[in-house]
Amino acid sequence: MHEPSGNGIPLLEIRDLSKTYFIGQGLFREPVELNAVSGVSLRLDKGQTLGIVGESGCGKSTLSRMLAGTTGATSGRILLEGQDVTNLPERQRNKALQHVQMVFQSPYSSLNPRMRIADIVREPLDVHRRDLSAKQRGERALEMLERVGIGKEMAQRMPHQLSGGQQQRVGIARALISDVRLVICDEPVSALDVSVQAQVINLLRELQTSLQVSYVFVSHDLAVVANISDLIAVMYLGKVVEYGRAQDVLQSPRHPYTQALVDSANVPDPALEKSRTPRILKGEIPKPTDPPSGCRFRTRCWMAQERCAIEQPELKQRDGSPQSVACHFV
Amino acid sequence: MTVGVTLPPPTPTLRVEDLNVSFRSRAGHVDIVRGVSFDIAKGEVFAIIGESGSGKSTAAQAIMGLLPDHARVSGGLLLGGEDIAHISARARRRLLGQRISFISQDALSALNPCTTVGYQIAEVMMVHRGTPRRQAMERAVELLALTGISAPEERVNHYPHQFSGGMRQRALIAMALALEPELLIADEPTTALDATIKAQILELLSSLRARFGMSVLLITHDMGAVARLADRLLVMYAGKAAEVGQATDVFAAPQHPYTRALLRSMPRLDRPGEALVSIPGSPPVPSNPVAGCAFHPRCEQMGEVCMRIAPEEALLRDGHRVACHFASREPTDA
Repeated sequence: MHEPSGNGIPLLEIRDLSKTYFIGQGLFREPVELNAVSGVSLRLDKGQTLGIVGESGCGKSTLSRMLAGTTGATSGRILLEGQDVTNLPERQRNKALQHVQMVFQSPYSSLNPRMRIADIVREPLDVHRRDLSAKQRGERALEMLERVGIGKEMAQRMPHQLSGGQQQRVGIARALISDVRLVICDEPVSALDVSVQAQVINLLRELQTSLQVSYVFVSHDLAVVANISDLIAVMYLGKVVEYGRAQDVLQSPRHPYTQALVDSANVPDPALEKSRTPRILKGEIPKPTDPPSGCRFRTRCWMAQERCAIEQPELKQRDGSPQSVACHFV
Repeated sequence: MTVGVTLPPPTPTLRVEDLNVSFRSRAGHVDIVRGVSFDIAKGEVFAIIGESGSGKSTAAQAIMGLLPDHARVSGGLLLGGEDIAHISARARRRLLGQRISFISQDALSALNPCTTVGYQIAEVMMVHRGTPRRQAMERAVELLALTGISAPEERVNHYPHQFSGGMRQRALIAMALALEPELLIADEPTTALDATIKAQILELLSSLRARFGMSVLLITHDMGAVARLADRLLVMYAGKAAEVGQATDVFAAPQHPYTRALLRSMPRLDRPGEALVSIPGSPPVPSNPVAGCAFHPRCEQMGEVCMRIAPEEALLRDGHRVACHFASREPTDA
């Protein structure tokens, strides 16, 4: 297992976490098993960002929902500051996970359209900080909004009166207002215009530095993940195929899938883009209900051999690589 | 401008002259496209890049004549030198599919869910060319194979829901190529696709362009895809052309502050962890236009003149045009 820097208890530790869904096929057919997340182990230290990248069906959203406690795990453990928070009963869970918040992809639909933004941001305090007076909570909400770049004059507006970027700022303010240690960001900039994306990424970085929060940053966009992450986990069909420090994973990707993913990202430089021959993967992502045997990537892999169909490669450091890789031929 | 050898310039596949589109709304007319002009040469990939509300998709729909009746369109549209702005609905139906074809972002809603994919491709040839059904179906198999769909003989008989997202986009491309059009308009063709599938489709478009020699109008917000595919590009902001030029020139030495800011604000995989320079504010909403230069509230170079007067497009060199009061005065280093 790859061990990130830092000693002692990590902020977040995921051990062999799995989630299996049973998908109904109708009245007379057996439900089909879908291993959305399968045996994932990761860890994250305080003030750091773990980027999770992968394509549709890779399990990144299921994983983030399990971390936020909105979806139960089928097996495995989630430890938050050493405390097991896996599948707690609701009341305990709300208490244990009050330091975990989420920022969602669609800023508008994650905000209550009938609430003023000051009230939206205040709401976590109304739940978790009953020790403060209503006035104090209101003041804190305004401070937090100010911090994310939304002035007092806008605090009484409704969500639809804001631009997409401003709505996402409100979502971030709401996530960070109570004493939060871990924020799960699920595609937080994917719905935003290019010129607004950078604002939100920079804001998340600033707040991380000042509040020392940790992020799990889930995205399909490798360039965005690369920009903000200290650690990167690359997922394919429910499994982590490569995991390590961002610079190691990006600069010398070892897993063939990571290599293809890095190759598929276009850089805004026509001279470079037109001269290179990216490695194009054949075929499509297999159905998660019917993943290939052995290594799940083998059907699209140019290195695949017989062994890959039989034996599932373990995620571990190989051949002196600083990052962990799940491939027999690294 | 230098006048050397006086060869008549070749007729462009598409010429767009001073295109304006406005929509009627409760508040009066809302201008979506405001005086955009460009040429697409034969065999060229020309990209229009812009954010939401920039008018890029509306411009494409105006070229195809697909805007609703309450849209007010003016300006010249010439396809291979022929006027296509003022033609009958019937002539337009002949034109679309035969000479101009279109692929969209949402391949699922572009396909008829109740008919096999093969028949939908064949239908194009049956309607426009009177090709007998059997022959058209055979050609559909060839086209599916050409766009990289495996087992095309089986796949022609499948319905759209049996295709994955990437395969649907391929089927749509096959349909668009059926009549070997002069111009393929691709509106965000890879936006809804996964990264590795997007790379496949970009490669496919690039190889098909080389093979058929058609011109491509690529509408996108993805600078990376533009860098990979496009020969020339137009950067659109608030309905206007901010900058037009060769892709290599515009990316290497962007002349408009918006283009420059856009490139600096983009996270790049070859520069991980680099601080992003964000653009303040957000793109203007068309119903609430900005006086003077539309970009001035977000511009770092903004001067007093920018608040009052919208800049004209100025020609720099090699067809590189830019609409900024300060473009010539402040040479770039990007």
